[in-house]
Amino acid sequence: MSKQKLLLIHCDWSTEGEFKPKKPDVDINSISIKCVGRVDPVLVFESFMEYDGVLLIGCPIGDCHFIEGNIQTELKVKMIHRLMDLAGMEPARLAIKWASPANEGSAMKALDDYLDGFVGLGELKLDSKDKLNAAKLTMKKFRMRAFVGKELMLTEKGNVYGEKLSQDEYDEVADEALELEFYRNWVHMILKTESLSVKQLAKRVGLDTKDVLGHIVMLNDRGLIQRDGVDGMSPLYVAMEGQ
Amino acid sequence: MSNKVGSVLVVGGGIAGIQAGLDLADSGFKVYLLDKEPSIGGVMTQLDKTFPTNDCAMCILSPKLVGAGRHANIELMTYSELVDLKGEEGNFTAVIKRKAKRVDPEACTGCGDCTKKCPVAAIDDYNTGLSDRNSVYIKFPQAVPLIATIDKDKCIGCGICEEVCKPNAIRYSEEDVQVELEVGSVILSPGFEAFDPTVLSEYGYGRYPNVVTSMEFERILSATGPYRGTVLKPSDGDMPKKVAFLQCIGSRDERVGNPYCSGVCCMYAMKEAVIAQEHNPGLESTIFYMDMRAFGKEFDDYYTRAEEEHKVKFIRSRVASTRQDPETRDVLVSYTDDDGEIKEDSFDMVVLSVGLNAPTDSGDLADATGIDLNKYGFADTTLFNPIRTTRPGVFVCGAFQGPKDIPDSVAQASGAAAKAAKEIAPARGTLVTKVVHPEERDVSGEEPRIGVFVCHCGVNIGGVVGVPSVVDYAKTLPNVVFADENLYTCSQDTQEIIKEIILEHNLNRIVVASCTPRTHEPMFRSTLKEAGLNEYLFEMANIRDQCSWVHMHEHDKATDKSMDLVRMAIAKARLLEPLVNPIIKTTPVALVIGGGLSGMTSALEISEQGYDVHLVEKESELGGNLKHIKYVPTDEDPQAELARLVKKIDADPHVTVYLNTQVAEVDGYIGNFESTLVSVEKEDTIKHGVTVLAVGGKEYKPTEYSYGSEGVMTQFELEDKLVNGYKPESVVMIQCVGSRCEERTYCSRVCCTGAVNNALKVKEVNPKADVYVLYKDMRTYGFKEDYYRDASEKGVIFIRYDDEDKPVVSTEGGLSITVTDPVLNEKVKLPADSVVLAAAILPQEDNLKLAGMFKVPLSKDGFFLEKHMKLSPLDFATAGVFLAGLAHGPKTLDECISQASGAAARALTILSQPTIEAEGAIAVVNEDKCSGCKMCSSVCEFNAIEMIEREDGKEVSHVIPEVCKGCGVCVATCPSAAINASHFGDDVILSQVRAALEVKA
Repeated sequence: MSKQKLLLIHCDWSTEGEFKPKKPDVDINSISIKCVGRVDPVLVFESFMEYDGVLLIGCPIGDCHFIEGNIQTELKVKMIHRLMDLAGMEPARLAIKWASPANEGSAMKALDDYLDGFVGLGELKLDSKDKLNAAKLTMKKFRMRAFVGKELMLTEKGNVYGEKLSQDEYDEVADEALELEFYRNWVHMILKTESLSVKQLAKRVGLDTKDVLGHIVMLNDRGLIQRDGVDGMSPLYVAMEGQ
Repeated sequence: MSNKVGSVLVVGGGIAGIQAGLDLADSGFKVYLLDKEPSIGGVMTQLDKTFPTNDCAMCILSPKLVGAGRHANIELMTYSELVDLKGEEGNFTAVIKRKAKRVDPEACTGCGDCTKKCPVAAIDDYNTGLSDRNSVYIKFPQAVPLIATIDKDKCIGCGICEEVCKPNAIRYSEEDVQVELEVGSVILSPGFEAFDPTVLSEYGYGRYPNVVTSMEFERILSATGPYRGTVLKPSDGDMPKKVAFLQCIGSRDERVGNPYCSGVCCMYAMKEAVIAQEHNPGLESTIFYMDMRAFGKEFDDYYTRAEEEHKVKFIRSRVASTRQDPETRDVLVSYTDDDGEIKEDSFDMVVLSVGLNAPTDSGDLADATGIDLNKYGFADTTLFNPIRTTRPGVFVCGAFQGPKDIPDSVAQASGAAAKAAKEIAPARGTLVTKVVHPEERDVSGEEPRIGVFVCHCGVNIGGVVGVPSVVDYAKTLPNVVFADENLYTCSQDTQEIIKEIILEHNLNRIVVASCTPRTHEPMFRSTLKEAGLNEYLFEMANIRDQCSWVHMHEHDKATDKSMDLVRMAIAKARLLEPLVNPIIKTTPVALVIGGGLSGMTSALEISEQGYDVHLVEKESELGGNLKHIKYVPTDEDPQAELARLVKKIDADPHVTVYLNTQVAEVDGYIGNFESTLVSVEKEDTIKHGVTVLAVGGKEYKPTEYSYGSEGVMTQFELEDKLVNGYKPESVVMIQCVGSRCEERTYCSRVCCTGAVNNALKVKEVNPKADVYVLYKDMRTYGFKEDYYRDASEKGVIFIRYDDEDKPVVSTEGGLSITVTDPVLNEKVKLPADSVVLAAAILPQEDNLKLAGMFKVPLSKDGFFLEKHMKLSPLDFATAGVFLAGLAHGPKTLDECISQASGAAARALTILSQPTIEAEGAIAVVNEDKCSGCKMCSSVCEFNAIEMIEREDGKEVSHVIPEVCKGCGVCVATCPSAAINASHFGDDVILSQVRAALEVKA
């Protein structure tokens, strides 16, 4: 069995990046960035193409050198976790933890804490990359980026009407959108390589045919897919060229 | 002067409200057209095709939407509700709640950028919940007004729409406001609410995905719907093989409080069945029904075609319940067949033909306006006053008056316009806007100086087409002195910019490359007029529909094609000449032909608004068929009503009655007719601006069922006997005598209700009498179903017969009728004192002669054929001629009144204007080349070409400018090249043809 691979991304301000983990069986690559706020969800999903885990270390809430980079990324992680769950990956493979040079050993402790759980998860095995790609695409496109980008404003600062959404209210609309977008992207991904019917797609993605038809309607509306002949009584769909 | 207010509030902007609004605005009144939705159009915007013509609903409706949206005298008040109505007839104060759209209508261009970026999904009502829309939305692409609306209930306030809105139209802080309007009359046209079948759990709606409502099925059929016009099963997206339609869901059903018939479902189900088979070849449709109520004009022909040509299967049975195969999600329909056996059939999909309920908020509307509702929540009206509500000055039309189809709604809407105008006629013209344009600049002799404006349409065009390169290319073309791009060429501020540029650069031809001339050309032409240019010096290139939309993923090709289209438009523009729209002076006098209920009603509606009417009746007294109607199912008295109308006409100084008179000759055209009226004593020549054909119909004299023998009579004859003391012991009525047969395929529409009315009368004079009604389908549509039910409850026995097994009347040893009882499936013999035949309604024999004189067509059944069966039921293609009543086809008294008032309103749109403007781009004859062969006049659909003798004696054709529509058929037919079409001349078209092939430098 090959070693588990972990990507550790930390900001320059939370740790110098000298780690001596207790679990030597894990292959760790670390990179440092200016602020943990730079971590784009797309980068995280890109990393899962190669790595079994991703650990983010930033400055504790309130201590971010760039005011709220850590908070923004914490919100993104929350959304990535939901997507990982949809994509059939253990959400615990991604964690965001806080450390500070003022608190000696805190970075090391963050890593060790993470590794405790990580080792038990073993290697990341994906039945296909489609799901991971769909998750990545979901965080790349406008709709979910809009949600995550606006979360703080909506829940804490007040929206355009000067009202605040409760966390539950926000989660409800965001989660609903996330799930729909994930499956739409997944269906879209699949249709890039082959023409399939609603029934075939439903089997592939594990959804009810009724829900898949709903996704087909929306993908069609957005000009991303088109009809591609008929198999018996089942219309087939394929992604539009270049889309 | 009076204190009447010259404006009308129309509540409900569906097809009925739009028609009423247009008629009023065209006759000199200011109209406020209110709708609770963000855009007008109502339910018709959601329909796929319409029966019986199978026209695309949106295609025929869209011009009306645009017409209402652009009308100088119509103010749209969308997303608004009427909350209170103070004051009185002629002088109301309406309190309106304008809900906040949170989008500035002046700034919004309808580009849809915001709707694409809104992250919050909300259900798409337009697609009946079958797809998603966003919380900031435009209901559909052709919406009028084309303005986004924020659905505050769904909006999370993220602010993205404001960030992406280039014209800065988002107004989050906008609140609902109340406004007060001074109006003279009010028309209520809020339409209906489709019955929600969730309560009828036995049909599984809401639980079984493949059970849908007929409204959902309209969207499923529609090319703009969620499935792009292919019928798919909502459960799995497969195409269904078998679809069942279940009739009377929420209609003729006392359990849900709707014992009435919804009147339209039989026809729309047949249409949906036929269209579904067209969209999915091989699909089999089955309709489960109780009575097939195809009672409208040419509806029975549609029924026959559905059955014989399209092989739609009809099963006469009310379905008791459905269940779902849990595996396939197919729907199993159980029903009782002809032999009384319970059967179960499997279908891929089931469509519930849901009925028409009163609008959900009809109670609120009644409270706000103080009108009474009937027991079903619809506006309360009477047989002889079908348009008046219980509050003076407040009128009703469309489905809110009672379930009805589109043509009946449109006719009644025009009727409501006539009623609404009557009281405030003295204030006509006081509140309307006259548009004044600067004097037109003479451009003759000038070199073309062309200005080109290329539109981004937000990202609609600009996101695909390289607009800047199209502009650069246009600048290189000859005669182009100015070219620029606009974010939205159609926006209000751009119109100002265009005007300034026209003056600054001394432009004399304008080309706009944007969207479709169908919707936008009239607006740009107005802009030219405002800048002092003749409106015909304008040309459009449609680079949205033809480039950015169809080549969405081929940016280079789309740009390339845009350049081609712009080059072609410029080529045409170089050759454009100023044209003048002919002005027609109108004679403010009407000729009404026919002195029955319809003719008298039309005549009075017109005269009461102050115009002279010549009323021509061929018989020796007024009244027509109304003379034979002795009683009606309500407590109204038809003979008293007849006497009232005759008295009113006699006393009316504006109405001249010609009895024993016929029209012998007609000359002229809209605004300027001259007709010769002939009676035994005299001949009159009258001048009139419009004509209403209300010639009525007549009762068929049966040749079947031993008619003429003792005791065998028609319904009219029975009616006459009953009021003269006849007390029968046993009566057998036979329906469809002379109707729905081989020689006359149409349904006479009134006979079922007439029979029930007389059956009830027999029961009234002799409760013990045996009364049988032998029928094919009982067609007591609408609220008339109440009388049918009442008759059944009072013991009238209804027995259905088939064409193959008609009742047999025997006069041997007393009258008797033998008929097969379909329940017992055996012959029964019914003795009777009277056999009463429901004789057909026939068209008048001289219809053909009149049709020839007025150059209007007849239907295959011999009735007059209107301009458009759906949206122009009272007009003819020949302008200035209108129709009403039985001349149009069989109908009931209240329907005749609605149509007759409506025909008057249509006529008043012309009578009220001293002049009318006709089309300027018309055919022009070169008399020297003309050989006088008359081929042009024979192909002209509008009778716009006459032959005249020149001074030199040569006979040449002459185009009547007021009548010509400029279609160009005569030009393309003329063997002598003697006619040209202005604006579309050979040189103009060829210049475009050649420009299309030019290779770009």
